[in-house]
Amino acid sequence: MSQFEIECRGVSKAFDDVLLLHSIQLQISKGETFVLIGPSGQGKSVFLKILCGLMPPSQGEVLHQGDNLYQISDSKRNLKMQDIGMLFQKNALFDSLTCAENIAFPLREITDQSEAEIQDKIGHFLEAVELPHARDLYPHEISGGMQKRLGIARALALNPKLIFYDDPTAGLDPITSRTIIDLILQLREQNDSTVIAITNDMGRAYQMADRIGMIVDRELIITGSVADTKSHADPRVSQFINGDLSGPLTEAQ
Amino acid sequence: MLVSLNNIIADIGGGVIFFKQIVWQGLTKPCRLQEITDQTWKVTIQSMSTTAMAGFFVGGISTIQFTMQVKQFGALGYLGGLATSGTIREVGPLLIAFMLSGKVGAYTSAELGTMKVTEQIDAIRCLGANPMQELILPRFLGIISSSFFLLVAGLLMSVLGGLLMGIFFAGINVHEYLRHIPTIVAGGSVLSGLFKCFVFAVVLATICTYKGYSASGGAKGVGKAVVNTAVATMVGIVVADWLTSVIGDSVTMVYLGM
Repeated sequence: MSQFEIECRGVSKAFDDVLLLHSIQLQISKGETFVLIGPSGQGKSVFLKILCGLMPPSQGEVLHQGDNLYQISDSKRNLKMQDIGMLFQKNALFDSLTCAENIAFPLREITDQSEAEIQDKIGHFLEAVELPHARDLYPHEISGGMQKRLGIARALALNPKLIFYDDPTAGLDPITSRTIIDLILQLREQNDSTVIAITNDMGRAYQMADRIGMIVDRELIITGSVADTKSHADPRVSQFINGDLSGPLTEAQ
Repeated sequence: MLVSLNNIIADIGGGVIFFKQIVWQGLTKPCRLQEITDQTWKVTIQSMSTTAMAGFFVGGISTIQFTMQVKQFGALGYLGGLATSGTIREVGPLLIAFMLSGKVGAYTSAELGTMKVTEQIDAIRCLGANPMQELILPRFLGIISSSFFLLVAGLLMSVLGGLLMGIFFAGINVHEYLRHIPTIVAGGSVLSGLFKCFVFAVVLATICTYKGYSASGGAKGVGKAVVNTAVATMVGIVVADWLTSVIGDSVTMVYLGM
């Protein structure tokens, strides 16, 4: 059994001969919150999908608790996926199901719980994300912030040990963003889970990260803790976190 | 030219592999019966009125066409039998398949395509469920089983349409129209119709689920998937019709020892 919850060994990804990620190494320990930052279009979401088992890398290995996620059998991978929660960038809620049914979906499909237990859980999760009034509404009938919270509730429905958040505060106002990160941290405490999140909002990144990594120029720069990141020597990191207009990131373009 | 030929071959190959995956899924981990019946009900209800109406008019049209032919030979008595046989063997199944391809094929492909591009299918996988089992298999089997119900409804309406045309256009009575149906429409005709209907439904269900499931690239990608579904199902059904006719004829020859 590996000591790491997730381990990446030389992961590369190319689309039609265009190399997006090159030989990335990463180890994430159990209970850690790792935040990915980086300019748009550099492959953060792709890297997250590779990490969670949705997109095989072109080269390299992704290990979850020591098992190579893309080489184990489908049934074993499905079992592993049940321990994973994912909030997608655009939420990916099931638009033909109500809010309650969205949360119920994994419970009905994966577990053998009785209808009463499922109803209990729906109530519990809707309370946790402060959406009990939206129970019978469809995703398109609720606001963007509410959809995010519903996405989080669905991702957590199976009590996953490993949770991926792809830009959980994108397009939200500062107060809602802070509430969502508070919710993520609170749920992490409750479930003792490992969290990997993408965000470009440095305030929110500092709020939740144990460690930060930046994806830029096809590589992953692990910048370390919040304090280490703020004082990182790489000019690309300092330009990105300070939002400077001039620097290596903008010159390269 | 070479590129498009390459794309067509890749598409056919992709469809065949996808069909194999569906069959394998059905044999190893089938979906719940409830999901299949839900889909069957949905598809049948969606297409029942148009299929019945089209069946009615196709029955009428074939009666009119046959009237002109048989009148020359003074064989109006055989009109009902010939028109019904033609409809059951060939026109009925083809009609149902075209109806389904326009309505259900496009709908299924658009629905799955939208789910794909909005990452809902990825979300299902991320929740530890299997999209082949949850989405594809119930739709695939739903389309096939509903095609039989629609075939029966369409054929009954076509007999009715043919009968009415026989009375009003050819001027024969009900008894005369129905008299030769049992002698001309043999069990083989019905079996042939059922077999064709099954093959067309399999072709249609495979193409529309495959095209929807492999859609990519936002709204444009979904639009492309739907258009490709319409074109591919039409061509696929016609080719399957030709193939089943050839095979059916060969089997009949062997069976009759000719």
